[in-house]
Amino acid sequence: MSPTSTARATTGREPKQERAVRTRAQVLDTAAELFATRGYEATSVVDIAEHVGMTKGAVYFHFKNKEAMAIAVVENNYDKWPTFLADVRARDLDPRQTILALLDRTAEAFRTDRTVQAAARLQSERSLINTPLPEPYIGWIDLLADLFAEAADAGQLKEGVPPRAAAQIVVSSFYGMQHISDVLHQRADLMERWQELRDVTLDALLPHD
Amino acid sequence: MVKQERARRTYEVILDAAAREFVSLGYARTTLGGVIAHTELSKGALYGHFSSKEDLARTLVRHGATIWGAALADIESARLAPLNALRVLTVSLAGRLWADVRVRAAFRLAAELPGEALDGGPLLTDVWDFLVDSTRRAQAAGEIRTHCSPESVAQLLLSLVVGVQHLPDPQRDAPVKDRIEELWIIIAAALRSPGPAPAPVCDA
Repeated sequence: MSPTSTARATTGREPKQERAVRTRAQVLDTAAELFATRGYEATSVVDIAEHVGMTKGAVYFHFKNKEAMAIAVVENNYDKWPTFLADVRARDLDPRQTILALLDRTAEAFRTDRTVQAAARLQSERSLINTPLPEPYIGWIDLLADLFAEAADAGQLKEGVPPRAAAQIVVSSFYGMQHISDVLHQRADLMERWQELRDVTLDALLPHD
Repeated sequence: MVKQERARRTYEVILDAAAREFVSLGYARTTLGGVIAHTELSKGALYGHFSSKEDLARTLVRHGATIWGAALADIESARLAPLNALRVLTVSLAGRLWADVRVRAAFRLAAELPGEALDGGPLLTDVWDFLVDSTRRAQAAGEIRTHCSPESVAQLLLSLVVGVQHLPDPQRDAPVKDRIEELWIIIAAALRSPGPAPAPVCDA
């Protein structure tokens, strides 16, 4: 954007670019809502356009097809972990408490956040989706591995446990837990199941002093 | 002979396609149209082998019960020490689920449709009972800390078995069995530690 067009945009109505960003986010939220509740195959671009109150053409202006939307939803989901971590970091907890608070926040997100639910669902429907989605949960494992390394430095990680393995155990069992909860109870019991898993797993990996 | 062979192949293709649909979408959302769409076959070909969605589901659960039933019986008859029994079951179940989409479908169907409708009840309850029972015995033998309920340890192991099916593979080609075996060693060590008495958080 040239300086003149910026100046013009800020004096007039909502800048075009900002509006486009907002519209794109709306489309993506709606896509997440439908992917989470109906699944990938049962959702069409037309459904998404109708829900968001746009024409199909307007939706295609932002995403070239449904596959691109699925990828964007999954990427949106990845962007959440660093935000969650920043929130928890602001509370200035020790490494052990930071990990627990981050995972509590994550469990809450699996229960209430459509983008997180959509990403989990797309992940389990992966074999039916015609496009390779970004590697699942890699970033989450990396992030937790760093935190477990901090816990190790603070003498809080169980001796002999490699931080990365601890992260893999937590992410796998967490994902499995929420999947079982989803299949059996549409995640109605998610927080209870998480509490149970947290008590046995985290207590073993990060024993109390 | 040729005709029979072709019919058998069609049967296998349909069963695998149905298993993939059930695994991804669950029972309620799976449709015969969806199953067919992922094959090069016609709906008529499907109806030549299966009368309905229920029929497909029942066939898959029976398949899972046969395959997994035999594996579980082997583990039980080996009379392993409790902690080792937990390891063998965890690793073996994760490997079977990974290798055989029909077994994966059988477990999901059994979980979603408990009771007698599909005869899948024992599939899950047998695994659950084995995990809880072995944990209890491992606790009695001092191999696992006693402050967590056997049910919560069973839940951890089952969640892990399900979770590793979805986890990215850092070594790309490392079989899921090896991956879970690695994680198992760490979990077992972590669960074993006596440690000072923690807060009573695990009596759920």
